[in-house]
Amino acid sequence: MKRVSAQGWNGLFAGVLAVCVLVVIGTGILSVTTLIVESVPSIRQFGLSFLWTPVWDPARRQYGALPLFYGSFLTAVIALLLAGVIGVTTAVSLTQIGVRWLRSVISLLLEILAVIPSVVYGVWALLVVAPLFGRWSGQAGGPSGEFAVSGFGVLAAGVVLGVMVMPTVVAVTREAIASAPKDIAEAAIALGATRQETVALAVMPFVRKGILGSLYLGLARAFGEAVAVSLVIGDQPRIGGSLFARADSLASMLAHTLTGSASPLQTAALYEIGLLLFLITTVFYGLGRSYIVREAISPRFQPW
Amino acid sequence: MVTRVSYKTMRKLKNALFVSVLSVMTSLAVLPLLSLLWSIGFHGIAALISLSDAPLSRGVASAVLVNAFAQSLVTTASSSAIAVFLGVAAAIYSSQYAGLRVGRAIRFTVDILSGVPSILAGMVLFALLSGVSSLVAGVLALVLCMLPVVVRTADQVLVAVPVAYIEGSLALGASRIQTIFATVLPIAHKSLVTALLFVVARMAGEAAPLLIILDGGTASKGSLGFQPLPLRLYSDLTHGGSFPHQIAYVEALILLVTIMTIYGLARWVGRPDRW
Repeated sequence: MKRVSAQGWNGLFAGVLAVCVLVVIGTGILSVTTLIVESVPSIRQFGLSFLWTPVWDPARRQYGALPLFYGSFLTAVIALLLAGVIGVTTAVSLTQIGVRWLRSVISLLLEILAVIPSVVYGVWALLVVAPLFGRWSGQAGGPSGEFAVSGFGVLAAGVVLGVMVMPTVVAVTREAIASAPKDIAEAAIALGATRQETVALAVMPFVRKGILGSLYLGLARAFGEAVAVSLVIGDQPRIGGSLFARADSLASMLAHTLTGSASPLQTAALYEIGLLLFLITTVFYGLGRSYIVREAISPRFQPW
Repeated sequence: MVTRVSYKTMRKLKNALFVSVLSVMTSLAVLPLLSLLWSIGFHGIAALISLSDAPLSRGVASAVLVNAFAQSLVTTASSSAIAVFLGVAAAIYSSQYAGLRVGRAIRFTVDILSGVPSILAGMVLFALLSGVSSLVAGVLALVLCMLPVVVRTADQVLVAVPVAYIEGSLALGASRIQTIFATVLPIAHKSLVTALLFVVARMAGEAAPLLIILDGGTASKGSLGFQPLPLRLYSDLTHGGSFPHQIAYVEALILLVTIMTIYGLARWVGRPDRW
């Protein structure tokens, strides 16, 4: 008799837990549905041409996503170039060269870089990054200690994004290096290979997929970042030729215009942007995850 | 002989170049953080001193700061409580009850959801609840952001519990509930708390989902509307001016210190000893 009731309790408990799972998955479905439903007026109005219309002009009720794609892609590419080169080399040096205490200090610093909120990055971007580029591009900078009045643009946003994405690249690449077979690297060393030869011939061939995965994850993060980008990209949805030109990205546009949206059509267009953002980041994130096989499970901090 | 020596030297040179390039790149990786900590620390403390010098601005500033900090505390605590409760329950299901295929499906879905940009959570709740209550919508937006991440991290921690303990517990006649509460959770609790604190640290500074719901375009400079710290900071940065500009440094400093404290707490809880 007692056993039966214990089984009943177990079933009930499992049922409650299963409901929680359904709630979690339900929030995802609800989110996608909401984005689709809200963007219907814009999809009806503009159709597929929304994707390549090069004008975003609320005054003329013309909405096209091309300028935003331009800003997003360009900033993400700059960010990935920076984070890819610096991040991968840093991951290699954190695993292959250097003294132990220095390695652990540097990896601690990089972990801290990953927890810093994007608004705080925004403050840093306004204080340090934008004035730097303002000086470079020959525009007048603001007085020191105050926020930048120049230097906004694609390049500044890309650099800030690069810094934000870098911890992800380092962490994923490091994990890939750690899971590469050790015996081959040791064999290379035993045969008299230098550090450089060992890394190039016996470590890197096993890490390529991991690096590719980390870059895709970085791309997803770079596309989705709204707050820090919107503070320095210049908030002007247009396709300029220069890296110093002001522009706007998908996520940044959402951050600074949605609440002040003038018409229902603009709101719908913004929700369509959100839907596109969802699709893009999901594809990149999924691609990235498909390259990364996570075996070692530990309670370490995972910045991606 | 000559060629052999030069070949060896070349290899050594190549290696030296390799090591120095790596060292330079690694310093470049650390440079932004040092610059960030320095600039925000320096300007934050300077602004703190100059604000506390003038009694009038000190009163306004401390009211703004205390208000924003308290609201941040409320939103973060309540959204964390909801997300952790739901998320850990879901993770217990996926790690202990679900079969191989169902578990994989749950993990895949949650994984994809955890990569969704946080600003979209704000948009979803803005569409669903904009007229109802911005506080509730803001908290739920944070829950929406956190939930997949909580499930994913908790699932990873719980899956790592050695099966032998679970089998041993079941073999001794414990029910599944008893096994979960007396074996699985006690073994995993430290890692679980650490992992969850990392998630909370990340969400405590999240401004993107809140800014769509709570900003509303109406936030004025000195007002004490509903603005948690990250959002307050964002609107001080976007609606410039001389007074908010100083207070923004202080807010950035407070936010940074708070996040680092939670992060340090997580590291402290998860410090390696045994296990």
